[in-house]
Amino acid sequence: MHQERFDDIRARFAEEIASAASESDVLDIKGRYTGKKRGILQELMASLKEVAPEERPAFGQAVNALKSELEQGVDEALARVRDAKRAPAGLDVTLPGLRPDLGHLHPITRVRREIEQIFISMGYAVATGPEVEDAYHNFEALNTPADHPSRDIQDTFYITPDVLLRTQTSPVQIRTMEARRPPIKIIAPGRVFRRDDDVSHSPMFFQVEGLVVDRGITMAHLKGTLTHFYSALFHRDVEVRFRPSFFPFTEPSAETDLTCVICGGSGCAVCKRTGWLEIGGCGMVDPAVFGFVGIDPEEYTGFAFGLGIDRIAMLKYGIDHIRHLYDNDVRFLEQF
Amino acid sequence: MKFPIPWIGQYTELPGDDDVARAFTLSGSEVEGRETEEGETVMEFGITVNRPDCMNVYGLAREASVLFGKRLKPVEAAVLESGPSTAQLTSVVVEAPELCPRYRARVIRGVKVGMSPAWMQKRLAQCGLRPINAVVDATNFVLMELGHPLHAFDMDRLKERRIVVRRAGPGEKITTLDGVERTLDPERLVIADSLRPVALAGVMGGEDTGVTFGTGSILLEGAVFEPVNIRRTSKALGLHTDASHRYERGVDPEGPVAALDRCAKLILDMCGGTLAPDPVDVYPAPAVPKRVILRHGRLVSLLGMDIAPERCASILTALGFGLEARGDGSWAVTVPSFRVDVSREADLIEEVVRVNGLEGLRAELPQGIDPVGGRPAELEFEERLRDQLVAAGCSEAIHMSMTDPAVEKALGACAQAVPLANSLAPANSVLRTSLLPPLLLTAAKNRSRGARKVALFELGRAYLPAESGRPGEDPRAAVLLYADAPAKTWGAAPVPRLLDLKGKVESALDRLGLEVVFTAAERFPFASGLCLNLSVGGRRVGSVGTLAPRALDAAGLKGGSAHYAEWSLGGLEALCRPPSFTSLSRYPSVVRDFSFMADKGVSWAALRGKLVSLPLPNVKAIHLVDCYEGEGVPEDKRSWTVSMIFQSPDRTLTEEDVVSVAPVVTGALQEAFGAVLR
Repeated sequence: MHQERFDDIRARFAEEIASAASESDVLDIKGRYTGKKRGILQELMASLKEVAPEERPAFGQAVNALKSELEQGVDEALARVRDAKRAPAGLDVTLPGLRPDLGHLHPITRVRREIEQIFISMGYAVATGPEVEDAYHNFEALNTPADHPSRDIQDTFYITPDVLLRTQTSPVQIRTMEARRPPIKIIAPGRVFRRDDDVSHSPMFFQVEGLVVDRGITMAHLKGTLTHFYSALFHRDVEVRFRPSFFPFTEPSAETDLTCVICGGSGCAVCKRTGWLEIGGCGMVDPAVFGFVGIDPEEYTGFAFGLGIDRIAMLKYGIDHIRHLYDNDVRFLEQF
Repeated sequence: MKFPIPWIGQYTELPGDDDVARAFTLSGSEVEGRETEEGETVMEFGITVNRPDCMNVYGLAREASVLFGKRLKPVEAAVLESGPSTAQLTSVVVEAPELCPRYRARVIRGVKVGMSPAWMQKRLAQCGLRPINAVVDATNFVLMELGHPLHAFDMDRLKERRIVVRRAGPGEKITTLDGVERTLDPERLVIADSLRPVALAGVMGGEDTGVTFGTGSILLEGAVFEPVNIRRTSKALGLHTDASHRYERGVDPEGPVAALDRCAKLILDMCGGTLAPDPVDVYPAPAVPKRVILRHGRLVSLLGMDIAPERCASILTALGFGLEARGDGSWAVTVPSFRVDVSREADLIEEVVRVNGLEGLRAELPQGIDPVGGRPAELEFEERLRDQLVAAGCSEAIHMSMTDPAVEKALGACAQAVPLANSLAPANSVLRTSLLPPLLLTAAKNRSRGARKVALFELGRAYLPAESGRPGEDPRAAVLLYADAPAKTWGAAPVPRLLDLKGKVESALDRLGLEVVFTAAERFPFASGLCLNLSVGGRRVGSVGTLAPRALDAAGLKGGSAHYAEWSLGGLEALCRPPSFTSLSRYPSVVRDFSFMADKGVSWAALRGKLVSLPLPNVKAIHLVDCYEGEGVPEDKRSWTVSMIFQSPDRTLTEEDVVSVAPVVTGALQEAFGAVLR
């Protein structure tokens, strides 16, 4: 019987206090419920005498409990309306967040850094060399003599008959071995140039060269290095296959095929249904190259490899055309 | 190079096409394409430059016989000879033996030249050759089959019916089979008769002495020429032929014998006639077979894979090498004459690997202590600069190193750009001397595609002309900001974008530990009064400024404004100071603003310079808060608000500390600039 009255008061209070929008609203509610004069609780307490004597202590306690409950509700409402007065109101929180005006790294840089990072973690130093090279470092010391058809493999931009735009990052091998003795463990990323401009070629592109020279270096080390590298680069276990080939500065030489990173080897359009991607050239440093830089091929052996950063970037990001890489369309750049 | 598979199959037993293609691809002669022509499989072989011996049917059959373990059949070249000996019918004099180590000739008389039979024409068509007549077709057929270039002369058209191999005289002329008259010099080797050149040695025959349907006697040439001379002649005359392609890679010095016999047999079969016995053979210094030592231990240690000695020996023997075991785990290997590419132990190891395959090769990592790796300081600096410029809101562009000389010039390049001797297009014919031309052209391209603002940077080299002929390479950074309209920020006046750029550059370099000093300058392609020198460590390294309108015109950039900074990176990494900690004061700081008006001509640099020079105790920093002109400020004045931060390391400052500074500031500004406190 009494319980109903209590519940009724509690419910009405809750409704009123929730809709209070200002401090005066709250104080008004406070006065009406807990006021000393004619407050609702005051009236409730006054009805004590109508309660059966044995129930009176319990009734009194219940009124007191309700009172402190309502007072707490008033305090909370006051805190709420006072806060609301200090904080800004009326923001449409569905408006877009304001993003800081950040630029974008070129995809070539992103991939180059990833490649460098993997090799640096394996103890490699990053080396560079001139982009305008002499024929000696770009060709001759790489066992590609003048008047030899192996020069035709790479169409060359010349400045003078002896000065050219490097066709490969391999001259950095020579410059490194001229400057230092083994052990040598470098990668050399950089711009290279070929006189070639068609659907799948750009006259300038980026390569990474790798060179390791020490006692006891074997072709198995080359395979292991590339397997670890490509697995790390593509974030999956890949298999590396060596296919014998010819490069003037390595012997034996091999093309490096990689399990297709798109289909995993089952065959797709990217790997022309072969399950393999041709990804770069490699081999054991030709003794003639050691001869040019004065390293004894009986004491030291070494391996070298090369790969195209453009190709990796295109594979990693699904870029369908090499032309995008050097067009610098901001709609392209802002995707990376 | 295209070859029909059934032709190869005539000389050795082949499995199915898929197996053939895979085996060749995995042994170094990649099968790059496959098609059906006249009902037979024709494969496109990517034969590497070191393997001229594989540029023919028989060479490929030899490879296949090794790869599949089958027998290689001999070439059928038995000929019937009759009549007077060759030497009685002709003579050969080689006057330039250094360019022609061997010249062998055979003579066939009484031929009737018609068209070659359908089976031969089919083979030639499959290899991409057109039929001419039975004799010419026979030489081409043998070229495709055995790989040795041959040439057939109409012997009756040779003056005195004889051959002289000599250098051309200066200005001597020949009209080659393609109908072009060519003027020669002594660098060119010719085949001549008693009077005049009749062929460009190893490259192309002459028109006058070629075999026609009316030819009755034939002199067949099978020669060996020096590769470099053939290559130079071919390049100099722009004449690349099937013959020159093979000669410049090197032919088998013993090749002429079988090739001439094979060709003679084909001609006799098709055209009749009699073949003179005892071919003429001028071969004063016969080639000595090369002998190379191969150590099995070296093979194993180079590969990191053990291939059994018996396996190595059987591979090399099958490939035609002669092996003689030396008892110490090595062999003395005799190289067959057709393997011009093999002369060293490494070459033999490659041969074994090529045939054996590399499937068994383990993947291992090199052992041992690594040298310290990483990026050298200058590269690390470049990477960090890239990150800072990205954080400053610029996107990275990468351009070709080649650019348009007209744009270079119009943009006021200070040096004559280095031209390429063989550029692909005029718009890419010089090496950039600045990163500006490509960046500005890119801004214009993006603008035309609808971009309204562009914020790009590039790190790359400028190529500066040098006396030596070899341009210097200067690593540079450049930032370009372009907008088609003045920038607007919420509730604020438009920000001059040049200051935006200046701030980006300053902040990026500051974060790398470099203190940048800007000083006013005048320099094209920047607009007058809107250019600054950028100096670091007391050295001018570049410029920042607003580009002059005519510079924008040069790149075809219509409307808007462009702001550009470019500076050299060389040596900057050494000037970077790492952060150095300053202890933090335990006492609170006090901020006091000063607002004053000064003449418009007074620059911030002047004001700041004065303020910094004043003895102001406890002033930790001075910042510009506002610079305003317009409503409420007289026409010729600007209003400034400068904020000063006061702090002491050892006590809490009092109001008196701060107040006492005010008269010093106002007095100094009044005295120096007539500035009045507002």
